[in-house]
Amino acid sequence: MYLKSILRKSKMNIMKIHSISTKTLVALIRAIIGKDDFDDNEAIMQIKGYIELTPFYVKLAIHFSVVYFNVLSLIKKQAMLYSLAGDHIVELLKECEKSFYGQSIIMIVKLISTLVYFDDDIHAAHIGYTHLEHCRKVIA
Amino acid sequence: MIYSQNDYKKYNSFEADVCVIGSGAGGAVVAYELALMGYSVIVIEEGGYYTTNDYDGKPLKNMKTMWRGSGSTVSFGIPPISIPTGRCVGGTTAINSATCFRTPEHIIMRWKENLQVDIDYKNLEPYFERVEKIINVTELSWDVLGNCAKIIKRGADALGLHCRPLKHNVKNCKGCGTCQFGCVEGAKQSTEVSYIPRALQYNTQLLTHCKAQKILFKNNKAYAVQCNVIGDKGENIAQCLVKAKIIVCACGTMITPLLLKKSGVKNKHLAKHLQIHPCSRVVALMEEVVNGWVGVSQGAYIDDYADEGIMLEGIFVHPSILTASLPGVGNEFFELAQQFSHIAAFGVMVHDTGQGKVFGSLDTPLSWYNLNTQDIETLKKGIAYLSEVFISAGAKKIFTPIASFLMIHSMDDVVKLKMHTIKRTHIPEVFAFHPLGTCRMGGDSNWGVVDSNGKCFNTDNLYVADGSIVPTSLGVNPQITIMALATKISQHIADDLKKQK
Repeated sequence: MYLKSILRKSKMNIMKIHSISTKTLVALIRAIIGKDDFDDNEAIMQIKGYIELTPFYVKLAIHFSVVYFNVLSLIKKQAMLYSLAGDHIVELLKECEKSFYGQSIIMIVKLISTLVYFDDDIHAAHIGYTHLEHCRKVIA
Repeated sequence: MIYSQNDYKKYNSFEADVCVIGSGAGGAVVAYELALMGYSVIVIEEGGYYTTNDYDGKPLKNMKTMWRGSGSTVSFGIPPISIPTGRCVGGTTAINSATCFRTPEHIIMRWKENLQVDIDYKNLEPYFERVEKIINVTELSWDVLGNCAKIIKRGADALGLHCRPLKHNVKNCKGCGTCQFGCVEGAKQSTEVSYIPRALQYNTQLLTHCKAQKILFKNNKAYAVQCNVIGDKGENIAQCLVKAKIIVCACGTMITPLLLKKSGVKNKHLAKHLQIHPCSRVVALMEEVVNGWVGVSQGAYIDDYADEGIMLEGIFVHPSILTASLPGVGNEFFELAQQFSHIAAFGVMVHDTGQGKVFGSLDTPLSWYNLNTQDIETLKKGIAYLSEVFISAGAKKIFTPIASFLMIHSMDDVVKLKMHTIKRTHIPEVFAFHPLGTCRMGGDSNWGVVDSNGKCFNTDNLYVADGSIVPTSLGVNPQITIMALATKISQHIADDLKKQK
């Protein structure tokens, strides 16, 4: 199953999916949202598409966030963040939230996470929302 | 005629009486008014022309296409402040909440007293009326304003405050609440729906995906604008030269000063005096079902604290953005997100006293803005007042953006918050939607960059007509101010053109 999914992707895509940045970002999204019912590759494509259009300083901030979380994880948990279990990542994030810079970084990643996750109708339904359904009702 | 990416040759040359750079609240108005008077106009717009068919009600896609930098433009400073602006035909009017206020009279008086700006409220009144008619400024019913507005009204009434419906530039608005990501109903009368189509009925050409690079001068006379046509990935695919008798810069507060600087305009006030109306939000968990996404996203306001520099205004945005404001991570976050239908949100806007500046390049405009002690205190007070309103309306829990005071359960907590001293590093979640002042009007070049008619000092035929000329923050949403000033500036340009003939 795993191999099959890899074969479906281009070589370049596989490399990106297995880069530290993307693995860390996906692990962060899982931990922040508290759900893992999304396709990693799809999420990565969405994030990539979004980040590509942001100014250089936002790209840098996101890159810095990934490095920051991994360094913190190495110090506190002696492992890279993406290799930690979900509850350990949550523990780490909660600790980060205590500082202004930690909170700011979490805010950026959280916004990207919710933007990408709830863009999907199935995921939006978890919180009782369906895109444009209310519009169809009010317009009708 | 509308030019899109495929309509350009490798090298293009255009000529008209007037070249307007930008199609937002300022540029579109100038284009229409002058086209109506019989002048030929070329409008240069960096972004694309999007209509209701392009909108899917989802922020991600529309932020990528319609918002500058995918909506991630941020000012440097503490805290970093998100300043989203539009990059499409319609400019920021295409992605704003359609809220309309006239310029407060006392603000205009202050411009006159402090900066010798030769404008008074009575002068502007006919322009306000004209703009309001064209964009159909109207008061919506409470049902269309949505449940968040009703909840705030209930709380405000209990406290003896005055919660009023905001006026909006809409036609037949049913309250879909997708204002910031393209109005799916086509109800919002942003300039790509109101002014631009009107201008196109006359002698107007609209060059989309066309980015102004430099205004060319001979002595003090601007004679052309050099532009690049931008491809989907931001690459240059063609070049344009637009020659005109009058050039109007209306690229917005963040870009206009950079374009003027690059073009050689010199003034000590250029790119300075940036004011932004720092905002934040308060989110409340209610007992009742709110379904806050039904109804316009900015429905009502409370101005009882205007003397303190505080305006409370609606701000219920799409769930994929608003959920990011909920506290916690993991299961704690998701359990709260699952109660989203019970979430109400409202905003606090500060009439700021601090100032920042704009720098960087046309490709990457940057800004520096530090929230000063007074404004941070005002923001905190606004958050406390809004929390009071939510408590009075029956909120179970209130989530503030203040890191050292994340949750409020009762009036006692609000009292504690009022006593609580906060620093700028305690509010990481600050936004600003109204950048103003970077090419401010003034009596002469010692006071500002442009005169009271929008004409750039020390130039013969270069005008500015966008938020950058508004000398100070207003305490209210600025689109009507910008549009009224642009209408006034159009009259002056027409007089100038007549003289040239």
